[in-house]
Amino acid sequence: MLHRNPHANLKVFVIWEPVLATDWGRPGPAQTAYVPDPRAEHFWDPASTLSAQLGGPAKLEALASTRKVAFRMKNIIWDTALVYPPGAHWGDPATLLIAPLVKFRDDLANGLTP
Amino acid sequence: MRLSTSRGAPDTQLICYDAPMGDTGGRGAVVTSLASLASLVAALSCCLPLGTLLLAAGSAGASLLVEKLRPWLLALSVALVVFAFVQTYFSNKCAFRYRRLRTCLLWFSAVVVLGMIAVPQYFSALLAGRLPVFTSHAPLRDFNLPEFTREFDASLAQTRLVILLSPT
Repeated sequence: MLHRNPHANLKVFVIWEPVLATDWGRPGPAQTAYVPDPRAEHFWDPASTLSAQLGGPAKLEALASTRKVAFRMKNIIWDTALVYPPGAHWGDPATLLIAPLVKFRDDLANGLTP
Repeated sequence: MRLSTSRGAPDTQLICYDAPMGDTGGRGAVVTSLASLASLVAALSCCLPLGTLLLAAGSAGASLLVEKLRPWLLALSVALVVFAFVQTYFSNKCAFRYRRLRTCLLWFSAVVVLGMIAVPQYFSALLAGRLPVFTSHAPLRDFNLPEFTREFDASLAQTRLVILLSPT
């Protein structure tokens, strides 16, 4: 969806966090290759701090004005993308929240179109 | 297969299955190895970039199902590989014609299953066709909330996309 919007004025924050049973240890150097866009910054969040700061899955409704969520998360927000418009500060609601990415990638690509 | 009966002592009746050597053991081990791989593929389906297998399935419901089943599928893979090892190395009923294929499948399965459990990120990267050494696109930084917030607010003029993902 990012290479469908190569000229969008975007900043991408990719937060990798352990969720599944196989997510032990810090990811290897190839992890960033999954989102190879030069506009992306990659973070490893072993304690799922960001998910907790967002309020966890119970608070998804408050995170964005438009939400498309097709699976139930247990304790951690994951496989989720949030779009914040220019001018929004951290803590303001996003304009779009989608989860999982695969299912709503077209919505996300459209949401990023200037 | 021929079923025959014979009488030994007057009160003893023996029933014998006269199967060719290795008929059960050889095929069983091959099938076990294949089943192990099949369950591994199911377990791996969350690992492929943007869920290639799940796209093929075309359903987010399947994604949820596979994700929930993943630990069980991996456990099943391990159990099947162990069973295949027992069939191969501790059961002497294997036909020679299956031995090479069976052994190759067995060791391949064992390496993939153990690799998937020990270093899942590398295996998912390899399966995605990316060699880990050469494809680092950006540094992977430790997450720090104040720093993240500062960077987020510093790019106020841009649309910001925040993505939370599991590495595998």
